[in-house]
Amino acid sequence: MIEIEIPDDEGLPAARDRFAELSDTRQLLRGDPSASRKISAGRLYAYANSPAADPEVEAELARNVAARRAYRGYLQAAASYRPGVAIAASTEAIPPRRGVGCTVRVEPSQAEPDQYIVIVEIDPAQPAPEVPPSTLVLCDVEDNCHRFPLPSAHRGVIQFIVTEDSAELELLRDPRTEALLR
Amino acid sequence: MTDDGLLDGGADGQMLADFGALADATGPSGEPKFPPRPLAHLARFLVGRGGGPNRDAPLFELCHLVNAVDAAGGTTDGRWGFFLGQDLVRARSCRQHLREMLSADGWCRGGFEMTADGVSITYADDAFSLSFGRMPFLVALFEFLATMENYQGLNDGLDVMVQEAGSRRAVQDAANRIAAELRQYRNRHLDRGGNDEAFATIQGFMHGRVGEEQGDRWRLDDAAILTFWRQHNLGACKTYRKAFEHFADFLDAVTTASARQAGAAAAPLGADRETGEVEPDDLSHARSPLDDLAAWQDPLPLLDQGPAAEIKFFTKSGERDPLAPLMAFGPFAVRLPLAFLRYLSFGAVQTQISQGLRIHPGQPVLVDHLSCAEAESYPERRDLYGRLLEHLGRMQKATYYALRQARAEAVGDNVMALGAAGDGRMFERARRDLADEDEFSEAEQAALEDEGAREFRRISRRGFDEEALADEDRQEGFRIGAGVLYAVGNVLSRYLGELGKLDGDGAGLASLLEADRATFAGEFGKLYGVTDD
Amino acid sequence: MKRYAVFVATTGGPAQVQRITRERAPLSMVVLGRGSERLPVSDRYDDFVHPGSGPVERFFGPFPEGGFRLEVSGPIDSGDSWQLGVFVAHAIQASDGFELVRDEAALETEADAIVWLTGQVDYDGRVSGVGHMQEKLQGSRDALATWLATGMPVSLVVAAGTDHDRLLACEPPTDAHIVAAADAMALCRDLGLDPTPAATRSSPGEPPAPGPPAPAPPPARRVGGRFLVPILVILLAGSLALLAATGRLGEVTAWPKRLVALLPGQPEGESPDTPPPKPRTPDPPPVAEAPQPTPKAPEPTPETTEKTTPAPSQQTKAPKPAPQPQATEPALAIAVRERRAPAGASCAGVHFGDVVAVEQPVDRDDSGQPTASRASGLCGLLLIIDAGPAPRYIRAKVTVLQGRLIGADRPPEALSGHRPVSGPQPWPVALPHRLKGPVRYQVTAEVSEKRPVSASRPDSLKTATLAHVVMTE
Repeated sequence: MIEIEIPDDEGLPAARDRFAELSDTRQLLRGDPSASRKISAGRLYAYANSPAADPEVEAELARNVAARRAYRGYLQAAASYRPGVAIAASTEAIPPRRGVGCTVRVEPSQAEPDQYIVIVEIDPAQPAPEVPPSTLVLCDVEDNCHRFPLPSAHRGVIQFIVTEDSAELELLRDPRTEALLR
Repeated sequence: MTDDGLLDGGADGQMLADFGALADATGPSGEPKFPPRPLAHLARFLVGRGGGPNRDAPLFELCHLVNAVDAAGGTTDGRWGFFLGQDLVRARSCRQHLREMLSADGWCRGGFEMTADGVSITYADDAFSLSFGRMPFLVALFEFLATMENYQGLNDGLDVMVQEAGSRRAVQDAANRIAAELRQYRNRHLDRGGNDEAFATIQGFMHGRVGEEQGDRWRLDDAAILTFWRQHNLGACKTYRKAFEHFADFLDAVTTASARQAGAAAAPLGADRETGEVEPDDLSHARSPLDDLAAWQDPLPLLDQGPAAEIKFFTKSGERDPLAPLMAFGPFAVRLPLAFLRYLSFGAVQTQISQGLRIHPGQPVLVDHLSCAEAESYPERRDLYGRLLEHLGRMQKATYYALRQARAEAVGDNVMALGAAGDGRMFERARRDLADEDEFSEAEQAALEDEGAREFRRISRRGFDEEALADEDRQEGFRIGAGVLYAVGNVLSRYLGELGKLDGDGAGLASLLEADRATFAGEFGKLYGVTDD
Repeated sequence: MKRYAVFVATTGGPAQVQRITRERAPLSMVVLGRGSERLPVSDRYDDFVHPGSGPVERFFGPFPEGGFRLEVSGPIDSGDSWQLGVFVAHAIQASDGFELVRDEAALETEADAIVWLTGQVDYDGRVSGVGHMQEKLQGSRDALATWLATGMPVSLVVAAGTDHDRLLACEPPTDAHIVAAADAMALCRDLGLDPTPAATRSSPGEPPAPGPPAPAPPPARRVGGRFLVPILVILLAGSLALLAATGRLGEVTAWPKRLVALLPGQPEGESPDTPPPKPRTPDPPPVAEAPQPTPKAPEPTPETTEKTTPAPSQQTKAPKPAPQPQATEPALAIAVRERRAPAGASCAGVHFGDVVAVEQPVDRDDSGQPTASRASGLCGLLLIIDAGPAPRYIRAKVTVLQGRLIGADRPPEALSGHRPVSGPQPWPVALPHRLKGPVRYQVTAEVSEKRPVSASRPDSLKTATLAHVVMTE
């Protein structure tokens, strides 16, 4: 048995507020299994900082532009090099991206007409990051950021071949596509 | 939407999803990213409706911490690494992360200092300090802010703040900006209509029970909750457990409001000194928090953080899980022992029914569930609690021994032992409470110490390692654990006393169970059974 | 056109080197067939062909800016045993009248010969063993049987010594020709190849060299093709190489004194033309008869272009660079002297007789570059790379952009970058007997302070260059 004083009219509003707080707190802590799942900022950040795939995060990024912007922000902050977007005045078919300490350019293969060579050149005069870049991130104008694993650098150059129909090439053709290395 | 419709709380699906994203987050090992206490604190802060000058104080603290992290790391990625990049957010991990940030070049700006307990900041016009223990909550708060609607303005505002971080004013401005965003978020995603309706419903129910002889007092007994549920389970309050929780919240709200009116703020349990929370071993100083409906805080989460987390006081499924609901409700359960038994036994059956319907909608409910044939028996629950109390006694003795050993070593080294822990005082109090005795002779005390030593050596769990007792963190872990063991033991003992009264000559609980089984089976049949028409 | 099918022996079976092309990309790559998969061995291959680190550029270069794309029919995952096969493939690419067979399925109709190789090739072209002979032979047995059944000549090439012994012990197909290789260039010659430097080559199947600046067009092709090299040129080149290596020429048992005087500390070495090579001595003593440098020992002049510390522009007849006491790492300097026959004598007398050449430093123009030398009466040039007072590792290279120089293929041992040297280091080169056009060349010297050049990071090296031309008019 519990016995308490009946609150007066002055005390009731405070009691109502407190009741609502307790009830809402209990609701939050219990959760709702039927509620939609959300990707936390921490998980998005972890995804941005790990090469591992996460289908749930990828699905969220595909449908949620705000999540994409946040994700892009994490990638930009964590990038070891930011070659960025191409200069608007470039006349080259696939314009190069030149950032501090790093250039990304594409050369058509002389041997196979449907192949292109993506060349990432690291300036040895700039301070090297603790971890050498291992991923090329390309972000389009709609904040879709795509990650491509990189081979290791050799003589300050990272180089790989892509085909005409590759996603990398399609993205790099657009001068507004931002390139990041991490 | 859950079973409980209007009476389930005011947060909408968006807010539940935002909070759930943090609550469900795990580290690589599967362990929760945030311990329960910071999460509970965050939930309380987010739904907080009260006004007052200190309501947004956590945002102010958060901005100070952002400022300190910026001074330690100097980059936006450093900020995100600290606030979003920790796999498991604990006080220790926050301290370690800051140390690593500082190991390269130290503070980027002046006015910051890392102390043994946390970080102190000296502004041109003020000073501020933050403890490591407070940081997990602030990290959770940051992540929630960064998660809620992918709040983009958060970082921009904080960037502005750290650029002008020489003054407390900049910190205050940033906190105000975030507070304004959070208010808008609450307005969009937190509705108080349902809660007000629930409060009014319970208030009306309580008023209806007031008789001539009761005057200006409400009386709530075991039967009242059952009656309320039976009246409302076809409408706004479908589950018995929800009804029980609502009454617990209702009484908490009314008594807290009364206490505030009387000028006596309740002191919650915990180690967050910044918010005025008391130390766990302060429980041994005064008995009132253990009896106070409004002041009660679940003590078990204290074992999940800091040095106490390194000591396995309880196994999860065999000890902690059965204790958890009793500790969550504390004195409310003690004073409504049968209502709480129903919460455990028949509430569990109803949860199974709800889960089954959610997974297989449209399927008929299992007959065993409808008939409550497998409901946990009241005597079995009493026996389980009895065994747990015996276990608590052994753990208390072992902990007592650990604290005595630690103090002996510290005194031997001419070091002040355990600060204000006062292990002897605490356990004298504990022994008096448990054994209902006022005094112990020296001989009895020596015998108890021997017994404690035997128990300590008999326990082969993580942390019960005699050689590690000299470690300060280990001592602190036992100190925290001692307070929790005392609080748990006290509530458990009193609850068992109430169950003893219900049992009467030994058959009371069994007959109560059968009566309740018939009642709940009837209600479940109405709610979930197949109708003839 | 003779067509070779080149196979690299791997434990997983033979992998054919199908095509070598140039790409406008800085790194050379190994690619699986026509595909876009860059194999992990690419970095090692890049080292193998890159200037300064691999023998391919050294023997077949210089190449224009860019890298190679080498296509193989199967994966080559690890190790360096592919080097000999790849070296020979590059030699085929560099030889007029030869080409690689690309299509493995059409070997019978397209290939004139099949070469199956395994071995490592070092910077000096020496071949060494790699082991695993039994597994490699086992992995290729079916293919070898198929090839031999067509009646095509099949050569199995392995390193002389242990690998060769083990191959023989594994009972290789009796119809195959077993070759024990000690020197990669000698092997190429045994295969009938005559690789020429890229700067003087224009292979029909090779795309135009990308990147600026294109070297000057090569002189008229050698008359008679690869088998009709003028005897005199061969004799002269061989004689000079032998001379540099041994100090002996025919019956001459000692260095002509005046020549020796210009080659202080010239150690014994090997010539790529004298296989098999003798084991290298890390720091051989100077030839006993060789006197110490004379006080007039030629020293570099500001003709040198020093990338890290540009030399001041000044002219002097006596190309002796001023000491640089302030510098902790003295600048590297390169100088060049003309060597002419004195009046009444011939260059043959200078080269083979007892005639003392008249030496004089090359003048410099206003920009500090050496002016053109007149070919008339010019027997040769003396390149002098001054290492400075403290011992340093110097690797020098002469890149002939147009025409031909004799003795410029490889530097003296002292300038090979393998051991530290100090003071002026001479490198004599000779001009062909009859010049049909100008000779343009460039001298590059790389210096490493602490370790052999080949073991140093490219970006840690300092480089100096000198460009010079000999005009026939």
